[in-house]
Amino acid sequence: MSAGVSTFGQAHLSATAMSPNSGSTPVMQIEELTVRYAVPRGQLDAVDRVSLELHAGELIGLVGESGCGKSTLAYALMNMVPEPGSIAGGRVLFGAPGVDVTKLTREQLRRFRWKEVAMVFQSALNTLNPVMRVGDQVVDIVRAHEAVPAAEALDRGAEGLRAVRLDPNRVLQAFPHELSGGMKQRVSLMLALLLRPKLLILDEPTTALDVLSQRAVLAILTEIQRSLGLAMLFITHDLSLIAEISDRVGVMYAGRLVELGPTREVFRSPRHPYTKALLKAVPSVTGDIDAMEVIPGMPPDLVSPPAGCRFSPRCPLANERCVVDPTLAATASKEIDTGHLVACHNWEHG
Amino acid sequence: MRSRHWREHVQILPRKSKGQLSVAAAGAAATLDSVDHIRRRREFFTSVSYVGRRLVGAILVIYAVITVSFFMVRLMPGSAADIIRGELIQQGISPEAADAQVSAILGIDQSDSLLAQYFDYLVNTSQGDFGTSIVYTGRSVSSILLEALPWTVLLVGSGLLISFAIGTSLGLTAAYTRRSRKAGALTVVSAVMNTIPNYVIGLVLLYFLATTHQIFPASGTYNPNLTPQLSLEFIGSVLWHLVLPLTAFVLGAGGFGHWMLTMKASTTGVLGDDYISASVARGLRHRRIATAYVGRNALLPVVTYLALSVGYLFGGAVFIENIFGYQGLGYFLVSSVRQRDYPLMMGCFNLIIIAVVLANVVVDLLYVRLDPRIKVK
Amino acid sequence: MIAAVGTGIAALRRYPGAAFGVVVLSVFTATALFADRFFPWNPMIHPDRTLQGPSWEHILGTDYAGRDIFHSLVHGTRSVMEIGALTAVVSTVIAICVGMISGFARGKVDIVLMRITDIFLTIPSLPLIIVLTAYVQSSGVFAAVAILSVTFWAGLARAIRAQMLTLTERDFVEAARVLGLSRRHIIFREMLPNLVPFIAIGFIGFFTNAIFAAVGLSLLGLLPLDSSNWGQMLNIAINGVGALYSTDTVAYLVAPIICIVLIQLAAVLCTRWLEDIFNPRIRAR
Repeated sequence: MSAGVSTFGQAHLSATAMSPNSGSTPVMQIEELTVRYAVPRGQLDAVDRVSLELHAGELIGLVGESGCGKSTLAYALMNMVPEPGSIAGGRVLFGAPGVDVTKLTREQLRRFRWKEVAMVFQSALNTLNPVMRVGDQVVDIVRAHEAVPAAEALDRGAEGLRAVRLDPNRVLQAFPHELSGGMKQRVSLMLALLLRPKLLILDEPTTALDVLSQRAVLAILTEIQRSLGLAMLFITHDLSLIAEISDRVGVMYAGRLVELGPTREVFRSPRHPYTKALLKAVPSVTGDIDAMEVIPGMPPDLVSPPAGCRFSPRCPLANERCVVDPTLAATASKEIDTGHLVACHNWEHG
Repeated sequence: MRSRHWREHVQILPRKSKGQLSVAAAGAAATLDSVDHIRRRREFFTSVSYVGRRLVGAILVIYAVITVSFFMVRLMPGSAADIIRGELIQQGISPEAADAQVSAILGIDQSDSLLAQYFDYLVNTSQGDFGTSIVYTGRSVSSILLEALPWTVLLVGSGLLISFAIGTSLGLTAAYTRRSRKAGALTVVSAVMNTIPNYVIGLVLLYFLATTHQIFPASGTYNPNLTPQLSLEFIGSVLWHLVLPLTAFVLGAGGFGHWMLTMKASTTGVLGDDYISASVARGLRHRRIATAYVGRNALLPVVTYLALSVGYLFGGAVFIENIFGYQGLGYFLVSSVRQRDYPLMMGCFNLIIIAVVLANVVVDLLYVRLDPRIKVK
Repeated sequence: MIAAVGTGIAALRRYPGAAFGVVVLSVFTATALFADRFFPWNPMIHPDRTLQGPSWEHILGTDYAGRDIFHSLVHGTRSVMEIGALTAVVSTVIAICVGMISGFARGKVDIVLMRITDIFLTIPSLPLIIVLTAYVQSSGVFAAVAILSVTFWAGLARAIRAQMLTLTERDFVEAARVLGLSRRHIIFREMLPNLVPFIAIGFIGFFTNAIFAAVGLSLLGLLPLDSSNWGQMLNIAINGVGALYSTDTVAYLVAPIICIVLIQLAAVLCTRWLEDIFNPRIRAR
């Protein structure tokens, strides 16, 4: 861990305090969001009644294993859930007064996307049109939202490229296949920031990159957040990454948000059995490899999950009520400390 | 032109901002510039050599075909040279004179050795002399071909253009509205039409619209009472005579149906690509996505098919030209075969081959220009 | 083998069009083989019965020479199917030989064979066929089959060679070689089964194209077959007396057309059925 980032992170944590309700209106408010997929076998809720608030200047990490629904949640925030999925419940309120993203018309949605909320996708390798030069794609994006001349759009692109430490002369006129993976990811980042969105969603932006590129991208990210003050939602399965850069962290399991709180607190004293098990499963640099523990069992079949808590089949604290009680709040809601929420009614016993 | 535009634009921006970044950028820009220059020059040379190689390949094929034609003419069954000679003698011409006439007809000197005859043949052919027609006595084959060629090019060219335009736009639409009834109906219609031979459609059109009801002319490339000139009347007549053959061409197998199905498949593939959903996320207008993002990428593989179809299309044109009495290359090809007019037959055949091979080369080169991912080596 | 039949039938159920195709093709095959016995064709001219419209005795009417159109149609089926099937067989055999030799032997043999294949691929087949008919003295099915096969084989040969090339790199061939299995064993027991999809689809393709070309050629009057061939019927319908000018005997024009279209459709549907069987990935969609 580079000293610069960690001290920066620390400073930021103490500055914003632990409470999400710090008085400022959230950039985005997710209320009981449910995303449902209709598959041949039946229906499944990939995201089940998740509630979350995203504030400006804050980087929220969203962690969980593959298939826990974090990417689906990200797409739902832009109302872009692919078929055969759809938003089946809840609201996604953006800004103040809150506009419900799930209720926007097609044209409103088009204008909303990228201008207010932008995304850096998982596989940046394929998110650029292979037959258009980068510069042309920049112009396309800018002019889809603002009536500016192409020259000005390119200006902005050049500026953005410099911010991600790429050479505009080289990149703007290049075709995507002429760029390396790391470069493409940074171009992707630049494109996301073109219109100065209020919220930036990053879906596993560094997973496909080598370690050096990872560090570079992360450094750029923190720099950007500092200078632009936007809200960031960082989705990953890499716990150590989240520990390093995020202010708050949310843990998802089987479509539900099981724990949410300031990063330091969640990592130091996790409350949900799943979070605890997750942290124990990550090898520590200093510890013994035997200290690693595997979580027994498998994630539930989402077409027919347990009626109560979805983690109950694998939970050491589970009792009968956990398995069958459907009134158990889906989203982390039991408040332990200010800002630290957990979705478990047995958390004290852990 | 685009490239010039923003390349010059980007370099104009002076970036005298903080420290290392600008110096490094400036330095990088400087080196990149010279590297760029070298790279561009090398690219030019490799593309020239690629063009050269394709042309050489094409010439080789043409050469092979011409050589085979030479031997085919000489191997005329029953040695038609002898038959012609026999006929001429029957008409009362002396053997020597008959020999001379046969030589003139075939464009070869019968007394020379085979090798010499072959060289003569090559020389003649490269100068466009394909010999003299047996049936259209006295007329050189090349003159007949020269008159027929434009009509075939007109038919095949416009047929291809229209089929391609209609087919690809239908294919794009069908792929976009994939689950609707409209798309299903379109697909079925295109698939069915693609299995019907174009001569069948030609016959039906001929029967209903030309012979029974006499709306359209039943034969000819233009009204024989007119003389070819650049007048509105003449052009109108040409177009009027083109309607039925063209329709049969576009509707039958290898017409719009073929392109529709190909484009639909290609578009369906492209629609699943990540950059398309990314461009929706980026708030681009749907029409822009459909044309510049989906359309352009989907068309590329379809264009490669163009090269393959050209040969097929010339073949299809043969049927249509004969059904409609349309005097293009195909028409003369068949009539010369029927009448055993070997020089004319081989001339037609050679010309068709040459046209197809050249068209292939053109499409290949076109594709290389269109797809930026292809690095020519 | 039994499993293959099972997948085949499952694919049929999933894809009703293919069932239609199979049925139609079977009908035509049966007609070609047996119908002559039930609907004999009488080439004799009956001037008293010319150009009659449809009636109970003559289902589709009679033609300009007094022959029953339906009988002519049935009789014509035979030569059409013969040409189609034989051409498909011959072309497939040539293609397999060339493709496998080229793919297996590599080196100079491969280069030479591929050059030849390329030439045949570039030259448009129809003009070549037409030119070849000028050199063919004998009429009849075998001449037609020979001409057509000569021009058709190239495409499949190329596909087979490509497949051979990828196959020889694959592990199971290496394994067979290491085990010391004879070359013949490798070719026939290991590689050939992998080529079956290409061969099957190529076969039907040849069949379709052969019929397309044969009918077209007799339509143009270039392929001298007896006058009950469908193409010939069309030819006479257009150029000959009467058929185009009398609506009663429009059947002479329409009936062969419908037959041609039906066969083509059926063959295409069968191709899709085969593709469905052979490509499990397509099935998932």
